[in-house]
Amino acid sequence: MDLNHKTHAKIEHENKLKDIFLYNIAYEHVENICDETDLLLKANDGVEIPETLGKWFTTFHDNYISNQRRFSRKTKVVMLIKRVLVASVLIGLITFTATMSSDAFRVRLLNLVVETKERFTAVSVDSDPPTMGITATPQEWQNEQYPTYIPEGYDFGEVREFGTIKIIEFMNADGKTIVFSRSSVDADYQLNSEGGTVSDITINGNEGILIDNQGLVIVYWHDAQYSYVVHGEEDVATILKVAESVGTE
Amino acid sequence: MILLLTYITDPEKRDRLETLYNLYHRDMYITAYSILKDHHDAEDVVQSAIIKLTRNLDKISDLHCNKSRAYIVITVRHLSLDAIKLKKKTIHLTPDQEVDETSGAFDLDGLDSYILKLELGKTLATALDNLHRPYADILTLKYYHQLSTSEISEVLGMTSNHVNVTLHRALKAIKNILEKMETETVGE
Repeated sequence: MDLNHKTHAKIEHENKLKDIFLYNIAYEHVENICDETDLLLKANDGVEIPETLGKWFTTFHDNYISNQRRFSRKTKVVMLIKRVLVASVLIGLITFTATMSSDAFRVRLLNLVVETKERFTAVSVDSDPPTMGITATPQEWQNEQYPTYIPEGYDFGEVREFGTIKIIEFMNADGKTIVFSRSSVDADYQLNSEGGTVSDITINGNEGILIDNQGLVIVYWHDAQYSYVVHGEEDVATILKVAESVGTE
Repeated sequence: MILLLTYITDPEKRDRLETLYNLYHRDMYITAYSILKDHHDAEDVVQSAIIKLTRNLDKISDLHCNKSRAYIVITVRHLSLDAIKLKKKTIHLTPDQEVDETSGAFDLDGLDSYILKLELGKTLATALDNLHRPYADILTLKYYHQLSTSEISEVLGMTSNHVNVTLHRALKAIKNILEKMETETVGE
């Protein structure tokens, strides 16, 4: 322990004792005040407290309570609003982060804003193995392009149109799907390549890419007028064959 | 729910203010009246005191004790003296110099002195009160009620510097009283 430490402790000790000494004098003064007040009350026993003081206090007290209530209510409402705002912002941030950090959620969110205009009807698939051609196409698609080959076991599931995007979904008995979509060449696509391999390919002389993503195969290519996507849970060769069969019958 | 909570918490505050008034309105009025000798002025002072005490209600921990009673009486006493000054249109001159309240106005020789002289508390308190009552009051608010300089200045209606000066003088006065007592003892 150094000298400064000792000196500091000594000063602190002295100050504490001094405070106690002065506290004791102050304590006695408080006792004196109370004794003196008792004597004063006794000496002025006959003095009456004016009624106006009591009336004033009642009014003052009511105003005080009313102000306290108003202030307390206001404080609580402000606190509640602040908490609700903070919670809303937090929920918003979490939702936004979760949505934007995953391609799958992001694509679904963006698709939500696309209006469904109409559905195709009377579409069927020729199921003759090994090659299946579309035997009946929607009237609006008579001159459109679509896969003329689909693998064995697949049948028409759904035909949809979102603005300039046209989609045909094929489905087999196991619930597996192969989806063909076509849109104008300037349309943006969100392709899920997370964790998959991406390679360049050529489809019918047009540039494209192939994404092999843990069983999900996506083929994208475009010509001067349209962009095309075929994706499904089949092997690469099958999906490529479907992609290469796209044309008009 | 908010309204319900408001109604639950308010009665406590309501009770404290009511209790303060019920317990001490007579103390306050008689104290003010004994100084001012006028019912209207005494009533005004009590009203001012209640307004002031309401603002500092949180500083009074237990209403049913001499500590709170003395705090209230000191507040009323100083408001009454202020009222007299105002009536006489006297101007209280606050000291110009800045004073450090801890600047050695009060130091006893040796640590034992503080312990040995504890028994003189009552005598010293009475002597200080007789010498100059505000000295004893400020000392009490500082060392017994543990108020800060700014809190004392608010209670007594003084500037902070004036509080420090008075406190400094109070400590000096205690030292003088002690020295006088020692001289008298030696003389005997």
